[in-house]
Amino acid sequence: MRAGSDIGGTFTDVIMFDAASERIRHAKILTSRELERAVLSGIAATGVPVSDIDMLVHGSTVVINALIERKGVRTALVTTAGFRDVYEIGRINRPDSFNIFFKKHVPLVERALRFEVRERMLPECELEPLDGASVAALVTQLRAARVQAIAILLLHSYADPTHEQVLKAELAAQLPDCFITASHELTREYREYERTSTVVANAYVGPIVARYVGQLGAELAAGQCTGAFYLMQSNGGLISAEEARRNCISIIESGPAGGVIGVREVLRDLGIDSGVAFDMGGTTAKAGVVEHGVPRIAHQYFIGSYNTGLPILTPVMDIHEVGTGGGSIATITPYGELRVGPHSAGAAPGPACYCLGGSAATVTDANVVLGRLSARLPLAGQLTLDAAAARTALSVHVAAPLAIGVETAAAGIVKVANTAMAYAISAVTIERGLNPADFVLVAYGGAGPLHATQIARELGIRQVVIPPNPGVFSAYGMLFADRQGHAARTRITRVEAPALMTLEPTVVELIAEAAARLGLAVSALDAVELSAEMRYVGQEHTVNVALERALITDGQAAAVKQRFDAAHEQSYAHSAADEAAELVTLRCVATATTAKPRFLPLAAGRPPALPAFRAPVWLDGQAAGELPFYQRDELAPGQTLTGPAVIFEQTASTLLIAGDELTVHRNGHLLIDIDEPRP
Amino acid sequence: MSTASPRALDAEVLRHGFIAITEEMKINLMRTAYNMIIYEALDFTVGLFDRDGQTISIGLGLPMFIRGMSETVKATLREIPHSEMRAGDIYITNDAYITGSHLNHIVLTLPLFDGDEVVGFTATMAHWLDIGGVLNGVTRDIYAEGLQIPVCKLFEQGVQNQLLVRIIAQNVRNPELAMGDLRAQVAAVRTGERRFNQIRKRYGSAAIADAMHFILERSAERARAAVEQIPDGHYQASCFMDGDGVTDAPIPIEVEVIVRGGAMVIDLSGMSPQVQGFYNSGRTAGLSAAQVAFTCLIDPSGRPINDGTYAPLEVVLPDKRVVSAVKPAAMRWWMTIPMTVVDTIFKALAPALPHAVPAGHHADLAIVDMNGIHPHGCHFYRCLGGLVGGGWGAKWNEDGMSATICINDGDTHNAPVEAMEARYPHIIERHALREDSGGAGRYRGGLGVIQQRRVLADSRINAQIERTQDAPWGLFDGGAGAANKLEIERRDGVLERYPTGKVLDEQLSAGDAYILYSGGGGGYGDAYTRPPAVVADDVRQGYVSRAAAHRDYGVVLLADSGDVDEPATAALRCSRPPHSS
Repeated sequence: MRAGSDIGGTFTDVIMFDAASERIRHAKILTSRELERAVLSGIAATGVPVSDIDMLVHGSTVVINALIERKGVRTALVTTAGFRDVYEIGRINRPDSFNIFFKKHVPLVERALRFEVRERMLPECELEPLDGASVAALVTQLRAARVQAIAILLLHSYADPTHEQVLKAELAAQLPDCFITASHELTREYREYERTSTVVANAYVGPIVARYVGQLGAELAAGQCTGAFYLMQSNGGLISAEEARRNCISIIESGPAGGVIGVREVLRDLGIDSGVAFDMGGTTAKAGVVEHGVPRIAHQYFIGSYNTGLPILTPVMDIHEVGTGGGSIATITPYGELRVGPHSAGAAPGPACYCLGGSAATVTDANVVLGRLSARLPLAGQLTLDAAAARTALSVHVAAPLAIGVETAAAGIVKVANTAMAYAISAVTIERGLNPADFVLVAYGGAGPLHATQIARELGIRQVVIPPNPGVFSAYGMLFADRQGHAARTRITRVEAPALMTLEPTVVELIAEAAARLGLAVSALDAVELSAEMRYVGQEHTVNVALERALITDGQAAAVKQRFDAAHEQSYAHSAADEAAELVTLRCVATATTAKPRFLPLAAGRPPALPAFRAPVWLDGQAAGELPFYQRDELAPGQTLTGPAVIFEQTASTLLIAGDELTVHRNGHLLIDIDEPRP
Repeated sequence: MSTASPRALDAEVLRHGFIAITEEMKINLMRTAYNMIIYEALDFTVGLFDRDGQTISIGLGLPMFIRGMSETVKATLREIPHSEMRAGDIYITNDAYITGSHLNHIVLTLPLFDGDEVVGFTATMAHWLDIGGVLNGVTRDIYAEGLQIPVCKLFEQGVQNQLLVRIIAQNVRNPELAMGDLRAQVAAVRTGERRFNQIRKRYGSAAIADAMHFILERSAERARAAVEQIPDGHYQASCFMDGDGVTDAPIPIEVEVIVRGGAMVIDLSGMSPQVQGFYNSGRTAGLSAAQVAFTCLIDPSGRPINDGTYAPLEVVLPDKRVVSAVKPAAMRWWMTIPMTVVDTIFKALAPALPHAVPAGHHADLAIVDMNGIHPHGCHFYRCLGGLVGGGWGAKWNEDGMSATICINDGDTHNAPVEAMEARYPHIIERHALREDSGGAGRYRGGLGVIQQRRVLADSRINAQIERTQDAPWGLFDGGAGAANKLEIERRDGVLERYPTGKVLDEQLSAGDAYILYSGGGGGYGDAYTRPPAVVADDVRQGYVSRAAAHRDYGVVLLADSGDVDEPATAALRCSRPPHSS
C-alpha cells in the first residue's frame, strides 16, 4: 500500500493506493494541532492499518508554520568579521514604494546573537586563515548565549567551504547539544544575504523538524509499519527523513508541489506536452507550469511575501499565488467601487451559504446565487449550502449599495474574481516569456473546476482538463513523485572551451553530492540532469539553461553558447550571438524513480450518463434556464457533453458554458475544448 | 432584470485590465531592454493615458517618475494635435525641460485609436546608459550633457524615421545598447496598444472611457476625503543641500503647504533659484516631488496610480527654481534634490499629520562611482559602488527602518559583497550597520550603513554624496540622525575627509579605501520618554552605545548585567528639565 498525505492549513488529505488491486481510497480530515497526529489520524480515516503501508509520501507544513509563526528555537548566527549585519541590512529595496510605513524583513536572530569570527576567503583564494583565538572566544560567547541552534555563514564559502567545515567541526565538538548548520551544506550559491537567510532559517527549525520526524517515525514503527518514509520537497522530489533533518528548508513548500507533480502525470497520461497547473481553494488561487513534461522550478523562495519576506535559496515549484478563492469577500468601498478579496472568510466562519457563522458575501456565495453551485448538493459531501443566506449576503453587501439586482452583483463578483485569477496564470507564463495559449489548463482544488473554462477564455487557452478527484489532487500527486537530490555550485566561468573543461571536477563533485542526498551511489541513479545559470558578461540576472554533461566537460563552447542564446531569446525576446557569455552557477538534480500508480480506466460498456437533475443557472448576466447537472461518477468513457451544463462530484463541481465541448477520457479525465478563445 | 452590466462592475473588471496593460508593458520592457539600469535598477516607467494625457495607470519604475510621461504626452499634444495623429505613429523626445530630468530619459508615446478617433496613449520612459556629452566632472549647461531630441515622429504611420535613428546612433557612446533599448521601448508601447485594443474590442471605447472616468473620479473623491481629514492651516518647513558641485554655497529648500477643506496647495516658490552645477531639475520634477509626497500621505496603495488622485492638489512653482529650471540649466544629477523636497513636505505637515509622517531620512542614493583597469584581463571597468541604503525616520508608533533605499527609489537592490568581489578588483572589508547613527527619540531613527571598500589596483573615484551638512531631522523633540559622510583611507593609514561628500575625479591607488557612512533617520518624540528597558535592549543589541544611552536618552545601565540602573536613570532624567516645546 502506498500512502500520500498532504497537511494543509485547514484539511489533511490522505490518499491510499493499493498496488495489487490498483484501488484508491482517500480521506479528508480537519488538521489537528500536532501535525504528526494529523497524518496518523488521516491514515486511520482511510481504514488502512499502518502496518500495510509500504511507502509513505508526506507533505508537511511543519517548516513553514514554524517560520511564519516564528516558533523556532533560540538560534545564533556566526559570520565573517565585519559582516554580521548583512542579515539585517538585506537588499535595501522597498517594493511597496509609496508606503512610508513599510516594514523590512525581520531577522529570525536578534543582533545580540549574531557573532563574528576572524577569517576571510576571496572567490579564488584564502585571504586570512581561520583565527584559532577568535574561534575560542566565539565558543565562550555561544555558551553564554545558551542557544539551541547555530547557523554559520562565512563569505565565499560557496567557492571554498574549508573554513565553514573546520569551524562547524570545532563548534560541534565544543557544543554537542546544539543543532549546527553551515551554509555550504545547504547551498553553494553566491549572494551572502540570501545564503545567510537560508542557513539561519534551517538552523531555526532544525530541532523542530528533528522532533517531528522522529515522533512520526516512532509512531509508524509502533504501528508495525516497516515501509519507507519520504518527505516531499518544494521542488516535487522526495527525500528521506534523515536528509530532511539536515536540509529542513527543502520541504518548506511541499503541498503545492504535489499538485504540480500530479499535473505532470495527467499530461503524460494524455500525451500532452505542456500545461498550466491551476489550483483554486478557499483563500487563494495558485498557478504553476509544466513545460515539455517538466515542472518549472524557481531557485529562490520568500517566506510570507516578496515585500517583507526572508529569502530562502532552495529549489521550489515556480508558483504564483493570488488572494482570490472561494472564500474571498466582495465589498463596496465608501466610494462605490467593487472589490473582491484579498480578505477571505476562509473555512471559518466561511461563506454565508455555509451557515457556520459567516455573513460576508463571498465568491462561493455568488456561485450559489447564480445556481452554479447547487444547494441540492452537499459541499465536499458533508456541508449543506443555504441559498437564501447567500442571497442575503450578496444583497446586503453588494447589490443594495449599488442598487442592482442580486444576480447581476453575483455575476460581477465572479467576473472580477476570474479576471484576478487569470493574472496569476499570466504571471507564470507571460512574465516568463511563455504564451498561455500554447498550454492546456489543468484545474483542481475545491473551486478550480468551477471557474476553469471562464479563466481559460481570459487567456486564450483552448483546452481545459479536470483530473479525477480534483478536491484532493495535491495529495494524489504525491503518489507520483520520484526521489530527488539536488546540488548547486557557483563558479563564474566564461563560455570558452578551456574554461568549460576546468569544470569537470566540479561536475563530478556535484553529481556525487546530489546522489549522496539520496543516500545512493551515483551508479544507482536513474537520471542526472545538469543545468547552468548563465548570462551575458556584464549582466547580473541569469537564465537557467539545461546542459548535458559532455557539452561542459568536452568544452563545446559554441553549442553551450547556442543553448544559452536560445534560452535568453525565449525568456527575454532577444539574444546577442556576438556577445560573450558566462556560466554563474551549475545545478544538478539526481533522480531515483519510484513505482507509480496509473490512472485507472473507467468501466467500459457503461451507458452514457443522463442528467441527475436540472436546475436554473445564470450565465453571462442572464438567466440561462434550467441546465442539466450530471454526476461525474456516472459519465461513460468517450461520452461528450456540450455546455452549458454542470458536472458535480464529491469534492468539486465543473461548469461548462456555451462553446465548451466536454469529452470523458477513458481514464476519467474531463477534457474540455473551448470554442472562440479570445484573440 | 437588466442585462446591462452596471458601471461599478464594468469599472472593476476594466480597472484590473488597465493595471494588466501597464504591468505587461513593464515586464515587456524589462525583458527586452539592453542596459542594466533599466532591468536592474528599474530606471523606467510605462503608462496608459486618456486622450488628454491624464494618467490612467502607470507601471513604476521609480516613484519619482510619477509625472514625467503624462507631461510629455501633453507636450506632444501641443506639438502634434489629435487631428494630425495617425495610427502607427510613435513620438519621441528626451527634452529635459519637458521630462524635468536628464537627457538619458527617452520617452516614446503611441496614440491609441478607435477608427479615426484618438482615444488614449501608451508611453514609456527609460534611462539610456549614455546619451553623449562630457564624461567626467561637473556639467554647467545642458549642451555638455548630450544629444537633445525635440518632440518628433519616430514612426509615421508605421514607417520609421531612419535619419533620426542614424543621428541618435551617431551621438551616443554605445549605439548598439541604445538601439536595443529603443527597440525595447517601441515593443513596450506596441504591447500596450495590442492589449488595449483587445480590451477595446471586447468592451468598446465608450465603456473604457466611462471606466477611466469612474477611476479618476473615485480616486479624486478618495483623495479629497483624505485631505479633509487634515486640519486646515499654513504649514512650512525648510532645510538645505550642501552645494551644487561648483561652489560649496548651501542650496536652500523651502516648502509651504496650505490645507483648506478638501484642497491642498504645495507652494515651492521659496526654493533656491536654479544653480550652476548639475543638480537642477525641471518643473515636471518639482511637480513629481509634490505628488510623491501627496501619494505617500493620501493614497499610498491605490491602484492604478492615476491623475484623479491629484485633483485636490495644486502645486505653485514659478520658473527658474532649482526644481523648475529652464534651459540651459545643467540637469545630470536631477534626482538628488527632489528627494529632500519630499522629505521637507513631510516635515512641514508634521504638526498637522503627526501620525502620518516620518522624521527625516538620509535622502541620498550615496553612489560612489569608480572606474579603472582590471588587473586580470586588463579591461576597463566601471563600478557603481555605494548605493547602500540608509536610515529612515522614526514614526509616532515605531522606530525607523535601517539600511533602506531612499524615498524616490523603490524596488532598487544593493549589490552583494560576493558578487562585487567576484567582479571588481576590490575587497569590501566591512558592510555593517552604523551604530549610534539613528536619531534619538521616544522612537529611534533607523541606522545608516558603513561600507569600507579597498581597491587592489589603481582606480578613479567620483562621488556626489549630498546632505552631509543638514542631517536628517527629528520630529517633536526627536534628535537628528547622523548625516551622510565619505572618507578616504590611504594605504598608509592617513584619513582624508570630504566635508561636502563630493569627490570629483580623484585617484585611489592600490591599497587605498573609501569608507562610506550613510545617514541615519531622525528620531520621533523626546528621547527621555523612551522606556529605559527599550534603551537597554538597544544597547544590548549594539544599535546604541552605552555613552549615547546616557547622553541622549538619560539612561544609566548597570556595568555587569547591562540592565537599567533604575535609581540612577530616574535621577539623571529628572536632572534635565522637560523639553520646553
